[in-house]
Amino acid sequence: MTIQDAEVRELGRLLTDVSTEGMSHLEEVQADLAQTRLLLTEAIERLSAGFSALHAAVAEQGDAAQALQRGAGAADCARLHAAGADIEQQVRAMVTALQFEDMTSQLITHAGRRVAGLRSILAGMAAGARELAAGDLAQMGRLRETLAMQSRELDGQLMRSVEQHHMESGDITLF
Amino acid sequence: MAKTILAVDDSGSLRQMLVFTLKAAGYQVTEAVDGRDGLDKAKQKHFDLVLTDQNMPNMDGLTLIRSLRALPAYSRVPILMLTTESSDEMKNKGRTAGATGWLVKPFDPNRLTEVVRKVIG
Repeated sequence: MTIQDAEVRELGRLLTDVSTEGMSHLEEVQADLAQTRLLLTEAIERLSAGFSALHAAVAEQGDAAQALQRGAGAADCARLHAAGADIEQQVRAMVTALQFEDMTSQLITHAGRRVAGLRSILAGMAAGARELAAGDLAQMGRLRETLAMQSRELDGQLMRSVEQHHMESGDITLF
Repeated sequence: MAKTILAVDDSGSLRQMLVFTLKAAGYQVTEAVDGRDGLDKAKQKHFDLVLTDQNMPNMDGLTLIRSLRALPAYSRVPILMLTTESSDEMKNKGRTAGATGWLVKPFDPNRLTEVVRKVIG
């Protein structure tokens, strides 16, 4: 193998590493965004359903109140009470669903930080590539090492903190 | 006199849901926007319960818990973590730091109120 062959192979390995690491980070970003979409979709479904149910309960409460004003009986008191309980239940469900903003905000921040980190890594690669183009062939090995190290650091800084894929309320543990 | 709760979370919407839920249950709630703000407010006034998020700027929840436990006034005050984190590793860190309990988001208002009543009445 000639020196030129060896350099070309090294360049090939460098480009493969850049592609692999870059794609890995971008897959994580895709996963964050997919999870965000799931949570948003479910939150909006729950909020929409809650809004409709709340509207119906408020209407029922209004009807029952009017019936009571007309001098109706125990059945309408029961309707009023039931409508009130239904309203409370729907509001509680919406309080849970409204927490989507907190979780999706964390996911979006997580994705944004990874994109920024990847951008920084690629900027560093560009600087090394300029030295490579100027003839410093040893850069190839250094770039591969730097890429691997910075990519691992970025992964370590971005531990996933939002595992929820649904808007169901979470576990409670008292120590 | 109503029991007092310090609610620490960097999400404004989450704090709004906590205040809505806990005030409806009869508690007085003070908000803090991160661990540092929470620690400052806890030093200015005594709270019967602290409810804190984990991932916050300036000071995270575990650091807040350790800092509160170092204060004589908060050595025995219930401190609940309310967070998206659900791993056993994080829960163990919370227990070691001095948390009284670990609640995973999103919270259900009824269940949250039950837990709060259980720890502070």
